[in-house]
Amino acid sequence: MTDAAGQVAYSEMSFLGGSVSINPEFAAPDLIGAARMVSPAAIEGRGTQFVSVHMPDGLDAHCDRARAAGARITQAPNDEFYGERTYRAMDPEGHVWNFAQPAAAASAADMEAATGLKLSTSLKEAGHG
Amino acid sequence: MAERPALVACVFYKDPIAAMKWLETAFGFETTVLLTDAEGNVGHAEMEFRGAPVGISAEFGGGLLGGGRMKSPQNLGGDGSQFMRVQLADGIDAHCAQARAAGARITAEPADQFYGARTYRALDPEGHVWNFSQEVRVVSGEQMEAASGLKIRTSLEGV
Repeated sequence: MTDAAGQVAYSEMSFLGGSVSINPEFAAPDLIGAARMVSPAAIEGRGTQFVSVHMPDGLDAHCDRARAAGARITQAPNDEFYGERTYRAMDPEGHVWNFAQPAAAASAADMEAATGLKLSTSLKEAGHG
Repeated sequence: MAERPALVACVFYKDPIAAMKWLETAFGFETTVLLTDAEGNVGHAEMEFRGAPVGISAEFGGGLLGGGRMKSPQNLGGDGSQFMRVQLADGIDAHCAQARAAGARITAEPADQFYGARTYRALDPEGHVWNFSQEVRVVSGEQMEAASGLKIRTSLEGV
């Protein structure tokens, strides 16, 4: 959606059936109070959320394509303890994108052994009831 | 656990446990995965709302992110690089009332929008923006253009 000057007011893109909105920076006290939505490029590379993109296959080729288009690959494709192969990239304005595809299945016990972390499935189980 | 959609957002907090408790009470989210170290610090967590997942993590930076650093808006003077849109099938006014009762700052009250959705917006305790939306009527592209004065395209062709 663009205004008469061609500026983007709002947009949506999709990838493998998932959707993501793309917008210019904005502040609007009547909509979001004191919050301001800004690009990481405006705040020294900091971001308050990132998106994980899950694909059934083709992760390495996807990374090659992103690199060829100038993505900064901050973590090359790698098999992770939680049963996914992942890579991470930064887009030109510094948003972090995490790409993942299924790898060897990992059980909860496998994950706890690999990391030394405790895995819970509720706040109560973790002692935060 | 629900089938994982292609795109899953991860939201960063100074105090993820406090945030998760609040998200359960205010928005009705459920905790599904919580990874903690020996001191109880959150490594990673996932919550679900009406079948959709969202990641919750503590602030972090480091090698995996190059120069990127994931922060809470509370540490950025209220700035945020993304916000979350949550689609509700029904019950948006009751959802807003529940969030308000739990202390959410409602920055835009539930209202019908020109694009056919009823929406409200809220800030959580650390300042993340949440936009809740429920479809209330079907609006054509022409109707949206007429109501907003904006031009609508369905691809980048010609831009």
